[in-house]
Amino acid sequence: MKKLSIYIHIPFCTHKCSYCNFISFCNSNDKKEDYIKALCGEIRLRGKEYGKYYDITSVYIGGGSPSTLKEGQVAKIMSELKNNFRLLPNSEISIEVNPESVTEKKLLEYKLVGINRLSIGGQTLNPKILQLLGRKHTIEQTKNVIKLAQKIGFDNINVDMMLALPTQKLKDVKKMATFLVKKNIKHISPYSLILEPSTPLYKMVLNKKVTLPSEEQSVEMYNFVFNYLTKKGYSRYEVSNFSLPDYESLHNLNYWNMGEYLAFGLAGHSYISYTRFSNTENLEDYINEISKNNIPVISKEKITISMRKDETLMLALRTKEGLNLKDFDAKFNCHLMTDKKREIEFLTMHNFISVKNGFLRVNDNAFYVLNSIISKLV
Amino acid sequence: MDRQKNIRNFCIIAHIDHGKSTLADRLIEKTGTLSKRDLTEQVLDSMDIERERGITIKLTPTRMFYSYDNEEYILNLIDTPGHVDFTYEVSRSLKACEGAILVVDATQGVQAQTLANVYLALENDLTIIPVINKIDLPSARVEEVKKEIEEVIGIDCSDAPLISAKEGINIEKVLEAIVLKIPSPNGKEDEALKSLIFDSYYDNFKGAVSLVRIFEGSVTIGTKIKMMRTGLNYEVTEVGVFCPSPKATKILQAGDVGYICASIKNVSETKVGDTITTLENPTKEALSGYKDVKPMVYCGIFLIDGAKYNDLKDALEKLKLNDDSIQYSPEVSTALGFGFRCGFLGLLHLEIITERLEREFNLDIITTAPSVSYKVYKSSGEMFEISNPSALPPVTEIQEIQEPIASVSIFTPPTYVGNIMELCQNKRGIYLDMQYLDSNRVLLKYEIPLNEIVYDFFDGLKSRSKGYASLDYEINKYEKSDLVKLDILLNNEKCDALSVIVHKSQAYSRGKKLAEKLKEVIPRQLFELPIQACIGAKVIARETVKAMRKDVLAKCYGGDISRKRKLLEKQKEGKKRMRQIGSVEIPSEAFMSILKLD
Repeated sequence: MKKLSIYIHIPFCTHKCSYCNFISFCNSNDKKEDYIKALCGEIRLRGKEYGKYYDITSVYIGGGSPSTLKEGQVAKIMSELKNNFRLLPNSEISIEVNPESVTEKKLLEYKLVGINRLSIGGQTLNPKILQLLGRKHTIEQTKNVIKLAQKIGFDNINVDMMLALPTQKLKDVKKMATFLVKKNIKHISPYSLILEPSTPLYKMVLNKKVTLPSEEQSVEMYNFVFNYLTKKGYSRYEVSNFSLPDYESLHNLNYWNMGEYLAFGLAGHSYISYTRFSNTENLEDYINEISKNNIPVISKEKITISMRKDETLMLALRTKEGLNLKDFDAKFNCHLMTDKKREIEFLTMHNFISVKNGFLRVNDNAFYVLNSIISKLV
Repeated sequence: MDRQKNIRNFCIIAHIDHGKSTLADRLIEKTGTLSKRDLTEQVLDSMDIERERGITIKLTPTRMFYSYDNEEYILNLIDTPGHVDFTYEVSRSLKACEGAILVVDATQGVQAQTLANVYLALENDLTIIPVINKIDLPSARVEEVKKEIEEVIGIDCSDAPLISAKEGINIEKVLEAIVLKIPSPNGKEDEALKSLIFDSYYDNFKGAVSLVRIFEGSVTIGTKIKMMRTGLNYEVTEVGVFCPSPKATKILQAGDVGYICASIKNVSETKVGDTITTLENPTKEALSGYKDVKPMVYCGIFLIDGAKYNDLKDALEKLKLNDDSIQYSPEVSTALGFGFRCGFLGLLHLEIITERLEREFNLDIITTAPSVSYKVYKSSGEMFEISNPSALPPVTEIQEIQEPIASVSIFTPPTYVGNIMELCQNKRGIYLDMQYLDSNRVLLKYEIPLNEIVYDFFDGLKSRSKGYASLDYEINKYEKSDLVKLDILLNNEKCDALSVIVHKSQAYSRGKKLAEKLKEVIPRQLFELPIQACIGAKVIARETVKAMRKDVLAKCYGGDISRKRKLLEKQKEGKKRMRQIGSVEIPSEAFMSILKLD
C-alpha cells in the first residue's frame, strides 16, 4: 500500500501578525462553521478518490491558527478524516496551537481524538519583540500551554522559535533555547524571519522604524542555537528542525523525501502522482464550490523529471542525511559526481560539503549558505 | 548644357534636432514626390534607430520635380549623415551638391555641428541658403538667431526663409530659394565619365549599389566602368534615380544624381569618395578629397550566452555588408570567452552598431570599455598600433606610446564656460582659444586626447552645461603620452576584459573608482573576494567583497516546494548571464556598469 501524508489548513486567526503573508482571516467566527463543513466535504470527495489506495502516515493541522477553532470542530475534522482515510496506528498527527487561543479543554479534545503531536508558536520570550511581531500572547501563556500540554500527556511537542527578529539580541535567543531545553521540549524549530513585501513589518523596516540584526548577528544566533542544542542531545535533522532522538517529524520528512501528500482546505497545496495542485485562495469560492461537490483547484502543475531532479536535490540537501548519490543517479539517470565534478571539487575544497558513504551532505558550518550551494549543484 | 539648366543638387545641413529630416519630409510632400499618406514620418531616416534618435546614418537621395515660373525643375536632395562621427561621409555628400540649405533652430541658434557643417560646405564651394526653423515656437528668437548667423558664420540672412517644417509654414519659400539661388550643374556631357561615389549600400539582388553624382560624361547599361582608387572594373547592369525608391533609367548624365549597379560583390569595393570612370576612355584625374576611412574607437564585443558566437559573427558580417567602416576581428578573452574586437568611426557609431546587434539580431552582448588606437614604439625600433589594452607589451619593451589628439570645438552659453574649462582641464585638455560670439554663445577650442573623449567626456559636458553645450571634434595628430595599462585582479586573477589604458596621472583615481564600482556590482560569493587595481605588479587600489554569510534559514513547507524550485530555476537562468573568472561568478552587467563610473 502506498503511503500518504495529509495537511489540513485552518485559515483563521485571532489577529494578523505583522510579518505574516499567509492566507488567514480574523474575527470570522460565523465563517468557521461553514468552512469546517466545506472542509469535511472536501475530505469526503478526496476520500472517494484516494482513500482506498493509500495508507496515511501523518496528518498535520496547520494554519492560520487551528487552536482558534471552537471546541468540537477539530474533533469533527478528525472523525471525517478517519471515516474516509485509513490512518496507520502509529501515524503522526500534529496540530499547531497558539498560546493565546488554546485552552485546557481544547487540548483534552485533541488528545481524545488521537492527536499525538503539538506544535506551539512560542517564537520568543521577549515581550517587546512579541509586540513588534504583532503576536498577541504573553510569556505566561506560552509557559502555561507547555505545562498544560505536558500534564495532559502530550510528549511529542514542537516549539517554534524565531531568529533574526527586529531588535533581537543573542541573549534573547539564549533565554528561549535554555527555557525549551529545561522544559524537555522534544522538537525545536528555530527559523529566521523572512521579511515578506506587503506585510506591515516590511514597511516598518523600510521606514527604519525598526532594525533587523545584521547578517553576522543572525549567523551568530543560529550558531549558538546549533551548538547549544547539539550539546544538549538534539540533532539538526533539517535546516530549521532539531529533535531529540526518535522525535523527528514524519510529516516534515515526507516533504523532504519527495513523498506524496494531499492538502485540504483553502489554498492547500497537494503533490500526488507527480502532479502538484492547489486550491482556491478565496474563502467564499471554496465554500460554494465544495457545496456543489466540486473541489476548486486553481492551479495544476505536472512535475517533470527534470523538475523532480532539482527538487530532490534541493530538499535532500536540507537534511542531515543529505543526498543518496546512488539512488539519485539511478532515479534520474545521471552521475552527479562527474556531471558536477568541478563544482563538487570546489565546494569540498572549501569545506562546504562532504561526500561520505555514498551520501553528499552539506557540512554543519555551511548550512547558512545552503541556497548558494544548491544553486551550484543544480 | 540646357538639360542641366533645370537641375538643382542640394543637401540640408543642420545641428542634430534642428529639423533637417522634417524639412526634407515637407519638401518631398510639397513637390508631390510622395503623398502625405505614403510619407511615414521622416522618410529618409529609414532605420528605427535613426528615427528614434533623430539622426541619419545611411543616406537616401531623393529626386523631386518642382514647377516654378512655368519651368519644370529637377531637385536632387542628397541627405547627409548627422553626426560628428561621420564628417568624411558628410563632406562627400556635400561635394556632390552645388548648394546647401542650412537649417538653424530659431530657439537654439548656431550650434557646434551647424558651424562644422558650414565649414565643410564652404570648403566644397557650396551656395548656402540659411533657413530659420521652428518659428512657430513661443521661445523662437528669430531676429537674434538671424544676427547670430550673420555674425558667427558671415552669411547674409536678410531674406532667409522663416519656416516651421513641422507645421508646414513657408516651405514654398525654401523651394523657390533652391531654384533661384543654387547654381545648376554645368559638367561636360561629352567628356569621359567622371562620377563621385558619395555612399553605397548592399542589395541582395543587385549587389553593392553605388550612390553617385555624375560630374562629366554619362553612364548606361553595359558601360565598362573602373573604380579609380581600387583599380577594379565592372560592367554596369543598371542605372537609375531615387524617387525616393530606386527607379531604373536609361542613362545618367553629367549633373545627375542616381545609382549604378554593376554586380559588385562587396561595399568595400564601392568606397565612398572614389571616382567611377570608364575602362576604355578614363578621365585623366580622379576627383579630389578621397580618404581611407579609419576606425577611431574600438571595443570588444562578447556574448552573454557564449553559444551564440556564430550568430554574432553572422550579424557583424551582415552589418559590414552595408557599412564598410566597421572593422572586426576575432578576439578571445579569458573572462568573456570568444568575441570580436570591433572598430568604429566614433562613439555614436559604436553605440548604433551595438544597439542594432541587440535589436535587429536579438543578441545579448557585453561590450568592453571603448578604447582608441595607440601607436606603440618598441625599444627595438618597431612600431605597431594597438586598440586592445591587453595587447600592450610589458613596460620594459616599450620606448614610447603615442595617442590620438582631437581638436575640439565647444559651443556653450557663457554661464557654463567655467565648468566646461574645468572639465577640459581634468581631461588633459590644452586650451587653444575662446571667442565670445554674442551674448548667448561662447566658442571654446581645446586639444583633448581622444582617450578622454571616449571615456566619459560627453556625459561630463552634458551635466556641466545642463545639456546646453554642443561639441564637435576632429582627430588631427598623434602625440607622445605617459600612458599605463591598468589591470583588474579578481581573487588574484587578472580579468583581461577589464584592463584599460589610462594616463599615469589618472591611474590612481580610475583604479580606485573601478575597484569601488566592482565591489558594488559583484554579489557576495561563498568566499571573500579581493578586488585589486594594478599597474604592472603594483597594487594601487584594493576592495573586498565579503563572503556570503547567510542565505537561508527558513522553513520549507509542502506548499513552498514549487516556489523554491522556481526560484532555483530563475537562479539557474541567471547563471547563464554570469561569467566565471577562476572561481568567481560575475554578472555580465558588472562589465557594462564599469563603463559609467560617475
